[in-house]
Amino acid sequence: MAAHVLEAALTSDTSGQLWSSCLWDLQSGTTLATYKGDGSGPRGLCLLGNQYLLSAANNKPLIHVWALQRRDHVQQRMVCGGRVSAMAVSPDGNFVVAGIAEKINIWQVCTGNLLSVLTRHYQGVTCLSFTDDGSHFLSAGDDNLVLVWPLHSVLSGASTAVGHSPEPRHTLSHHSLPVTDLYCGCGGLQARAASASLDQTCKLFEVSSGQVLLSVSFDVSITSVTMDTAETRLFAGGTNGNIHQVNLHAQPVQREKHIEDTDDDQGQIFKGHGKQVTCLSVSMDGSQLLSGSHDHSARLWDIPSRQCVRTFSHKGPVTNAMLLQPPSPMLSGRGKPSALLQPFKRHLHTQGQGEDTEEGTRDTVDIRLGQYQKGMVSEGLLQNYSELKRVHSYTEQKDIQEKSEHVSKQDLEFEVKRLKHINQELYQYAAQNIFNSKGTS
Amino acid sequence: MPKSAKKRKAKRADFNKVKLKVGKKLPKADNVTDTSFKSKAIHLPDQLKTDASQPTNFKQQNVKDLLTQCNHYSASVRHEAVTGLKDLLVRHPAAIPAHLSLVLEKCSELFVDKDPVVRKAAIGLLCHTFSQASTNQISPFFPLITAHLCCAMTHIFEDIRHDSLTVLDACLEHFPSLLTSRSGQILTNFVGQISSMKDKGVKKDATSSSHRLSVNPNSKLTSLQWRSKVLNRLHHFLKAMLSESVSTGDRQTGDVGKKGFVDEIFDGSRPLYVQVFPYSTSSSSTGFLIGSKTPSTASLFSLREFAESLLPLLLETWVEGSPGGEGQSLVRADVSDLLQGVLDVLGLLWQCLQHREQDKQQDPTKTSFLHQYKNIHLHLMSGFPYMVMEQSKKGKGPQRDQSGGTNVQASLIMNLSICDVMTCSLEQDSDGTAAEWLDTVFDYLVSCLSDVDDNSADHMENVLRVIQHVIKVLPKQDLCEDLLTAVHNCYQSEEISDRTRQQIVHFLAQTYLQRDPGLQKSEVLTNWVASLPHYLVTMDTANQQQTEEVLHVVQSAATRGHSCMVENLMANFQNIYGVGGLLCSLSPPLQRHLVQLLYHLPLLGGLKLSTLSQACRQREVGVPVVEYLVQILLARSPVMAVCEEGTPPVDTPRILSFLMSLMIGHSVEELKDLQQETSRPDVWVPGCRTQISCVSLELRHRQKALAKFTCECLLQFSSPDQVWKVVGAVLERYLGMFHTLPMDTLYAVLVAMVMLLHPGTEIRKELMTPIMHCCWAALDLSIHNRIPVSDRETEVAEENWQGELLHAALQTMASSQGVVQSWLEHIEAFVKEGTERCNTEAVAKVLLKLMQTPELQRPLQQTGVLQRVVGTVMVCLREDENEKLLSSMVYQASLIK
Repeated sequence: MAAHVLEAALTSDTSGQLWSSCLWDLQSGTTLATYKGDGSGPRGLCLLGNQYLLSAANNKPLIHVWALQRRDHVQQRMVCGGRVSAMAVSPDGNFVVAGIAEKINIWQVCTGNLLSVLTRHYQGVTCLSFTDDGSHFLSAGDDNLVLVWPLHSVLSGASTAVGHSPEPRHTLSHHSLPVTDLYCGCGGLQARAASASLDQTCKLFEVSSGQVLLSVSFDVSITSVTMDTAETRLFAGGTNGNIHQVNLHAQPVQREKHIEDTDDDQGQIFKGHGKQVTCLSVSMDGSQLLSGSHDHSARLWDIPSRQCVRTFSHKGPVTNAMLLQPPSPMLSGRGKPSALLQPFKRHLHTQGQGEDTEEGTRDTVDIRLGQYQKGMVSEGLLQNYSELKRVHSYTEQKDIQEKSEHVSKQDLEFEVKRLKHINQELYQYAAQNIFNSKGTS
Repeated sequence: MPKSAKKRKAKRADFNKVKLKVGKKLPKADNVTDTSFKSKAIHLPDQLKTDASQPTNFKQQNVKDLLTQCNHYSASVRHEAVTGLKDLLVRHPAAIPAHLSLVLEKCSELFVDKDPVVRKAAIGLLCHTFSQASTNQISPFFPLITAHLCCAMTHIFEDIRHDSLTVLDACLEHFPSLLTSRSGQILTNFVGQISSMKDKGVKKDATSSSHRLSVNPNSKLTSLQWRSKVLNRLHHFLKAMLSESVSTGDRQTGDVGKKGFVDEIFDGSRPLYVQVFPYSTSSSSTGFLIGSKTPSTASLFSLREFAESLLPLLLETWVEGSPGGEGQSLVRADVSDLLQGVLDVLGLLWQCLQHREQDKQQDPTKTSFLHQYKNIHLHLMSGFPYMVMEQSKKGKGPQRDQSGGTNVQASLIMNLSICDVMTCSLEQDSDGTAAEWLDTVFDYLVSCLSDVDDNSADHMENVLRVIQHVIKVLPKQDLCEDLLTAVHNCYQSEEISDRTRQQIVHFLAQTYLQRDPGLQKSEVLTNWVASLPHYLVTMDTANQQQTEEVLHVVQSAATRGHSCMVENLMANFQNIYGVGGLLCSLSPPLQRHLVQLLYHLPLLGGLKLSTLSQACRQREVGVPVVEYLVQILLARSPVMAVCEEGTPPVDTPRILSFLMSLMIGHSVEELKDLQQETSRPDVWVPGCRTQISCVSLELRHRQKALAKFTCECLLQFSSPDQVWKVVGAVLERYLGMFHTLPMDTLYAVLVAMVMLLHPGTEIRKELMTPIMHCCWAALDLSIHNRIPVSDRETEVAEENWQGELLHAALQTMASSQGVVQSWLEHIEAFVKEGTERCNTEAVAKVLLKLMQTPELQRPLQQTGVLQRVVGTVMVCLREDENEKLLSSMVYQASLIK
């Protein structure tokens, strides 16, 4: 049943009454998978390397962890220094970045070591986002700042000296009220990112230079922002529940103009939510928009027509809603994560500490290679082998066939030559005899 | 044939010796010319021939003629030609683009003309052409011009070299970008002008440069004056170069500069299209920039080499001009210009190098510059601080007072420049050589700040600039703190002028905003920022820029959790946000700034919120600003919060009461006053308990927007039922107390009923009657057009508003069965009492309107009393001749039945 699902919606709310987070089928609106547990906080739901689901608890200093295939209950709880207000996982799944009050913690997933704590924000961190190549991450906070951090220098800086605090690559202070959402486009460092703020504006900026390209003012405070994959449209959700669409391309040239062109005159607003829109996500093909709101619902919109296609109802304010391509364990409920998750440490990991204490010496990584996987692996290999074999025999046969064909071709050529030769003889004989006979007669 | 005797005699007579005798007058020769006649010249001011086809000058010469004459061997003809050409171009500006190439070519050839008058005229022509042409037009010919300019600069004749500087001035004035792109040629020539190459044979050691200062004893100008002139130009040139590279650098790196920054406003009425990446032609700067490595000019030029060759020359110049011995600090007035020039060029050179530094991390340039620094420091600081003597009047020799007063202004400028140049090296100072002179510089700066007077505003900027630089590069915290303390003392002193104070505020604001991690702990800055809210209240709000800057500082301090500042802000709350406070006197963008500050306040109690709601009623505060304010308050209240942590700054009951008072739009006192007015209300609806008082249209529109907005906000609360309970209770209380309502409040009440009342919820009995009266009053008002209007325009606006009021009233009635029922009963009683005819008629019209409204037909039917009431009304109207009204009433009543 689940084989054809390409894209699905993953949502969570604060209450966690039915489930902590839920995977919805976009076509039918049915639930594909649910993960039971406490409610999750805003911007605190992440997939970790297609193997785990992390969710920051709403009011507790905890991060809940589920292995994707086991949905029934929380498998692991990571205790943090405070309530996690924002969390992000690097695209390669190596690092988890979490905002705790005004600090940003960076954990290495495989060891659980706390590699760095960044304290450049003056107030609480509200959102975190990685660039798609994982080289940088953006952070934004209640202090109106957006910071661009290079991951490598942040990590290297932390290991060299304790007192030395790493510097962000760029500091953007264009907003005048707390930043509520960040969206980082694709293209690694060349990406463009969008930030939303309570000061009723959205800013679009380059990650590489930190230059602001566009500032759009709305008539309402903006609480969420996203762009489509091609970055031709920007969507901004406001506190009053409206979602505004801004086209990042020039107005198409209209050769014919109809006076009754009411389609565009309404302005490009998605109306439907009653309360503030907390999260937005656009599908891969840029045709559908998922939005979550405090009015206890997530909605799926058709972008070209701006209609609400489907409503997913929740038991509390929706805190996370994203469209994603669900990894197979999520759908099938089978398989097991290959890497064990170490609990996240609460104290900064230093090299010196590693030699003294027992736990620090473990710079190794645990990998699950149980019996469970053996069968599967060998099975796959067998399959591969037979496939290879089949291909091989096929090509061999073909080779022989070609060879025989080749031989017959030679024969034919020989035959042709022979026939030509006979023909030649026949001709000469005829010519001689006929001429001679004519001459004589 | 023999010659005749006569002829022979005559021939001989020609050769007779004329005997001249003393005392006798010399007889006039036969062939003498009589010069006694008088003559007059025929002056032809212009030619008779006119050629209308081509532009000509006052002599009717066309361009072609004039250009050929430019090559004439006679200087006067050349001069005539050049002036004629200029005249022509003045008369016909349109001719310039057509002949630009020829004119510029001839003109630049004349830079090296031997005749000074011609050169001067040619430069005049050049200036005129430059002023008329654009950069793009000139740029193809500019290589030609610079080639000739370089010729002139290196010319063997001294006066030609002198005049070349004038050409350079013209170029610098009009096309600095073009000139700097060819900086390679010209900068080298500058050095050449004040120096001569050392012999190649002399072995160069590492420290000495390849040039030495040249002295020309034959020159009219003293070499000091000449050098000063050249340095002045060099200063201008470097300045242009720096600004050019800074601007291009901005474009590339996207610094704070707002280039390419698009600001758009999304309004819901139309789709917003923004081309984020517009098609942009790359800048046409092909030239040599400071930052770029590949010079466009053929001569391989690097700024570093140039700096290396120039530095020793500058130092030599300084040494020659500076006061004699060690520790002498008196500078003669005539050399002060020169010394100032040296300092300016030094400073600029450093800036250029530093700008270049930004591109490449490791640059040997600076190190070489620093290498020279030992010398610089030695020379510059020998007599610091310097005193420039008063420029002595050109009077008689004996009366000159050598030891006279010092020129305070000039010496101040000079000393500051020295400070500036010296502080440049601080950044790279590793071996502590700076310590020797740092104290002197500091003392000087502090003394500058301590004795300020009214006319020191000009210098204050320089002083502050130097201090800013020092603070930026200085590694030691305590010293910075001292400087800041001095600045702060200056700020606090009462003697300084407003302008100076503004400068200081600007300086401190910049310093605070720089986000220097070290400076954030600075006590002085912290104190200063804490005092800012008070300053905001007292400052002159006319200076928008300053206000904005201060607000910016306050805001960033608030975001950084500056508790003292926030406390001070709370203390000044009334003055800032109160009626007649700062908020009302600012422009909308600044009001938004001020409103944003509210976000950071830790606790907003009931008193503060009531202050705010009063401010929101002020007309000076626009609707968008009020909406913004409400949104910010909501963001700080538990309404928006996802999870509860700590106590929110605004609690739910308070924000509810704030919203309600905003919706009502009038304070309790105002409403009380309305009740006590003994006179009839402005609009009197017969039979209805609710009466209406007039409010200006503008205020009504404002309140309409606000009422709708507050209702939308109220809908955001988590439990609509509870919100309605609160709203209902408030409305009940208000409507119970006040029977005379302003129009805008009436509208707000109805809108609240429409938007907030959950369908299906029944209204309480106590609220029902007042609401019914409100509806009746509104219907009556809008149906009968009771508001007097003056002109057409307001009439339309008035109609619109009344239409909306009517709509709201009808909706309210439609939403509740009870309201309709009680109204019908009420009017039945009213009509039965036997009022005047016109009143009955008014009621009848309202009733008709109700019956005509589709949404109301069902509730009317369900009351079951409709037919009876209609009958009663019709009985009262029976003897009337208004048959139309009657018949339509009968018809509508039959429809509903």
